Amino acid sequence: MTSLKHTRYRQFFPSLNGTNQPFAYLDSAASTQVPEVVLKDIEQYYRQGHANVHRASHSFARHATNAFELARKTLAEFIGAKAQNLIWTSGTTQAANLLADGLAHLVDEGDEIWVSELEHHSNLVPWQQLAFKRKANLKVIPVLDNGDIDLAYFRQQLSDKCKIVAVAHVSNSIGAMQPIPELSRLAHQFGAKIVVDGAQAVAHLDVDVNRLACDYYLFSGHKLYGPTGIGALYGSEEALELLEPSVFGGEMINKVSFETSTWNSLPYRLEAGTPNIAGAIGLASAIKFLAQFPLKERLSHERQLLAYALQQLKQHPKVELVGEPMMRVGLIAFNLQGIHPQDAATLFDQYNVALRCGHHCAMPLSSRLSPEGSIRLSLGLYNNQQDIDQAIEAIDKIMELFGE
Amino acid sequence: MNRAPQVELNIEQIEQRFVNCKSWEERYRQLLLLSKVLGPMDSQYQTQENLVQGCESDVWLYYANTQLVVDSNAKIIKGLLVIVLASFAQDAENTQITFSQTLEKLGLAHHLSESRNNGITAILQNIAKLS
Repeated sequence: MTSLKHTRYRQFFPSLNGTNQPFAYLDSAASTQVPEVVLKDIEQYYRQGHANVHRASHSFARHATNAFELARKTLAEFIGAKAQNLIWTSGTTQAANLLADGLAHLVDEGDEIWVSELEHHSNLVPWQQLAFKRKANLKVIPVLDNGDIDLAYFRQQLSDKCKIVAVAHVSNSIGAMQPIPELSRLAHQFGAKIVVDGAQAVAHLDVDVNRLACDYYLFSGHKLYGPTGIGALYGSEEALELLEPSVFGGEMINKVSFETSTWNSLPYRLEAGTPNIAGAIGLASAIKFLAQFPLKERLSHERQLLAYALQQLKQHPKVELVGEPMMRVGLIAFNLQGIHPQDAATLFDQYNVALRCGHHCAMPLSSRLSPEGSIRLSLGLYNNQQDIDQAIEAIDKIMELFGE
Repeated sequence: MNRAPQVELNIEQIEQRFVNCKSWEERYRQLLLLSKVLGPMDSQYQTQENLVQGCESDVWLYYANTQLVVDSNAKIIKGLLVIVLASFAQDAENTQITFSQTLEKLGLAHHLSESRNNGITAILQNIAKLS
């Protein structure tokens, strides 16, 4: 059983066990810790014989190809998709760039690309650059004071000039969940494609791309208890067919002569070069790790812990919350009265509390809600009540140290 | 324009302040007190141009009439900037070395010197270009 006080998940994460001082890792929105079984599976892959995929017919290559394609299936099913609809990428950022390049042909001068004010840079800058390149207009769905997007404004402004809508499922700086099914419906009403950045959502929600009705969904392995350098781009069949490759070479090639080249079929057409095979296997291992626990129990543990943290922070007289979205997922942003977030983060570190401070790679949102930045507390499966209490105690000590 | 140095404390005086510190909390408290020594920068100089790159907090630096003026909106950084200024005053060419040695002596090196985001590294690089 798992409770706020004890989480049965923590024991599976070697980095959080075995130190003398309790270490409160509350920075899972940046990167999650990795369970033992993932480390073991990655090592075992190399130990059993590593080879490139889809190339040779010897046994190492067959083994690698099978494991790699099985990993694709595992990951695709995790978000309710078919294996052939999942493209391996190095992470969310690469997936967004692949899309911004691959969809450039949809965008003409004077067209619109919509993002929201709470996007992090990876799902903003590629679209901004595409808008520059195509002389299109980058339009922004503004954020209300509580951190939710102004859906009414978007409904009013959206027109058939819009070709692409790119939004985060969950904001990485304030945890606000966006109404994706409604945004998808609106985008499709005007014939636009909708790209959903799921980096902060996949570990904390029951993600089903069919229910979200989006064209593309992107996420990273390192926020999902997997290794870095691996992630995925899901697309509906029609949406993936629309993508023109922008990175060339390796398995994405079908035939090449000096005059012309033709491309392989999907998903390989969009996977240039040798993929991160061990990364894919590691990420699939992380998914299998998660799947051994009932989904309801996992999500409810996190929700309860988040509610507890929110209650503790709200009660604290020196804590100022940044954004109070209707639907909050995985994290809380706040400031300590009169203390610069960086000063706070330096001291949190001294108290063995790992938090993030700054703009969380979402500078436009930060300048809207909290210009000096904020402190972000974000949760993973392994966190328990003790981690939150340790953070609250640290806040008291920091306030004392600052003498305020 | 003739102005008094921004900070009159020298390295030795700074080290004196930390002599009786027994815990890291006391050392940080001294560092916070040190930050109060640094008078605020004229807001007209807090420009984009004087803003040092690569910080999670804002750090400004300008240099005029052989006078180095710095400021930050984060207190721990301000405290460290006082040590930077004293190091600069002692021997401009060896600012970085004196700064690192002082942090080491004060028992602050372990956590603060490695942080690349706090702007101190960028400040030291800018100073190195000056001397």
